[in-house]
Amino acid sequence: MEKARILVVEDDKDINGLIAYNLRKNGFLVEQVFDGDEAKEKLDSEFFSIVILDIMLPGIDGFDICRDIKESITGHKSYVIMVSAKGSEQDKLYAHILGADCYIQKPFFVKDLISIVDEISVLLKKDYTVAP
Amino acid sequence: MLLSKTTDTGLSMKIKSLKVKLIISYSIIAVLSFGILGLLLYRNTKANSLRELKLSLVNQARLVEFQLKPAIVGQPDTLILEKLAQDLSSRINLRLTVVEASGKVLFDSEKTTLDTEKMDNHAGRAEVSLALDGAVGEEIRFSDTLKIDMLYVAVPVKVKDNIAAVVRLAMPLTSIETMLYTIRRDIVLTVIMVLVLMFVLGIVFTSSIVKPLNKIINVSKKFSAGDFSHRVYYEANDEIGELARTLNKMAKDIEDKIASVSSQSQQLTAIFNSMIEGVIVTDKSGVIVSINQAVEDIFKVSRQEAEGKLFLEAVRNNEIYEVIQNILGKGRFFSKEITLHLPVQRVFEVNATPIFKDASVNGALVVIHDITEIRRLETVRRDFVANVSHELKTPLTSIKGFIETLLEGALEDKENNRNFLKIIQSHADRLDALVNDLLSLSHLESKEIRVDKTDFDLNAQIEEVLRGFKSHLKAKGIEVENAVLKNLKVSADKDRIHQVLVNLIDNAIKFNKEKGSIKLYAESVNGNLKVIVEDSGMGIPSKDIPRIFERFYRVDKARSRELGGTGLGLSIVKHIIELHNGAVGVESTEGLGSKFWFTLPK
Repeated sequence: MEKARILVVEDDKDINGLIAYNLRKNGFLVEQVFDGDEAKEKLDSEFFSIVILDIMLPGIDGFDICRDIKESITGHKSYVIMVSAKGSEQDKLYAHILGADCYIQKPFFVKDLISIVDEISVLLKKDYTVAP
Repeated sequence: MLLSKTTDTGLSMKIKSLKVKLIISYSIIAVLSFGILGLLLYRNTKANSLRELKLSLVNQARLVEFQLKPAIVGQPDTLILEKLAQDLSSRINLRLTVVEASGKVLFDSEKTTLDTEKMDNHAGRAEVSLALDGAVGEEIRFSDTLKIDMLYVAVPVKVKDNIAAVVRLAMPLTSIETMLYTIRRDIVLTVIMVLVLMFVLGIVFTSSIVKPLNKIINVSKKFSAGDFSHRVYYEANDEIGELARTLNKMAKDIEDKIASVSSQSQQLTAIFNSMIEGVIVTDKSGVIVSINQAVEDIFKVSRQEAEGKLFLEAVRNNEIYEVIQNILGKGRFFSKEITLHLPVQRVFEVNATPIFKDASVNGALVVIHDITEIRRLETVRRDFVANVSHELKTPLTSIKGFIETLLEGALEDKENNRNFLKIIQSHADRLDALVNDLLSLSHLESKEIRVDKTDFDLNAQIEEVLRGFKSHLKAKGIEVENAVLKNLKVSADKDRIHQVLVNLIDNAIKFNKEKGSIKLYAESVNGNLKVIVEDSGMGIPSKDIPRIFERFYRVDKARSRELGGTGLGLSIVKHIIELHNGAVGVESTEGLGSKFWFTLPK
């Protein structure tokens, strides 16, 4: 069974490492990037099933990356989990409008993030059965 | 002008007519009283003199009759009678006529005997006819003979009961006429003199009334023109004097009132213009009645241009126009926030209230309060709160996340467990530093802070700070040169300058390259002491320089956090130096290094 590929976009090295470590431990294929521009480059060339996205990033910010992902015209669209210390209703609404699938506010429980990723994986498997 | 001129002539005409009226009435009274008096006197005198004259003439006639009686009665001898009558006539110097009972003239002292015979029958003459009847006859008649008014008196010459003849005496009235003429002349002269006197006195007297009245009128004209500084100088103790005093008192009261009102209005104007808030007053149709200095500044209009115009003609702001329309229409207090975009973006709170007159809306009062600064401070505070929460949440996320990870099994992961604990430790340290810096900042901003100045040796202070960084310097192999003069005394808050030096040297180490250098030196600039911390680090991009002293502003967020920075160090430096009335700044070339400096007044 193929595990989903996940891209972690987070400028804080330790939080990025934390998320990556726990996802890998749960068997996911993880790649890490530390700023917006790097993330854009990566997403333009490769496909990730899930993108874990911080909002406040050096370079292009998380909202713009999310919009790019959701407006992309290529076949499958990545699931986007926003992770941010910003917690205002306005930010959450904005993320929702841009098409983010989930919004997690820092600080978060690792097991909550993992269970969300797990649930998305289940959805992904269903998609695979439908997809040609 | 024209109107006042008309009133002018009107007033002076009235004054003239008053003068003439007074003189004419005095004259009429005088002429009437003297005229009536003179007339009565004249008539009385005339009657009295005539009566006296008649009486004396009658008596003389009686005496003549007595003398002539013998000659007439008995044997009338014409010669004797004539002689005697002539003699009597010349004695009494009167015309004497003797008439027979038949009316035939026997003797006339003015005629010769021959003439006497030719004379008319005198029985028809009124006085003779009366005497013939037995009474004393008298008459005044114009004498054709002498061409003069004559008084005739006739007495009968009685013989027993028969009337034998009539003796008549005639006297010209010249003397009475002369006397009456004198009286008439005197009366006329007196009246003329009185008239002249009346005229002169009248002019003098009426002038004494009209002159002060003129004064009062002139001063009143000044009053009605709004000039109350004049006074009527007339001190007489009469009604006009009283009028003048009352007028003066009234003028003084009005002058005082005007002075107090104008000083009040000056005060109000001063308040109105010195108000920071813009004030617009309109009438009920929305025409601007007045605006103050603040409004002139906000909307770049001049008072002369704006006043008397409709609001939108003077100030092209639709939002405030709508507020005014609302107020005039509904008559209720109204408050609104508006944003002006030109020439610079400013935010205003507009409070408007109707002005009532007799329970109906008579205008609008609009007060415009510039709340740009308040809004800006609110934004700064909100941003700060958002920043603080972000800065706190980031290390907390790591601490929480790694503890959870360790507890969920990573404790057994020999490869990573120590590393995770170190990460937790570093983030706990960062939180600690952040909390300390936040406390410092909040203390520095609290305004209650006192700068505790002492004289201390700056060189020694720098050495002390450098000792604290010894291990860091060694780890990065950085060379430090303290070129500040030994024993350079500065007067400042020692502990706070210590913190400034710590923050600047800490940055100089953190953002320096391996085996770099740091140089500290001081120079005198415009009487201030300028302390410079120069490093050979990565430098600051020029676009970031203006914001480098802002709270939480970082050139490279990730690197700063990695190095344990809170983003508040330079902000704290700025606050401390500004408390000392100094300045801070930075000059930097990207890739070559930065020169942070601060000044302290000597």
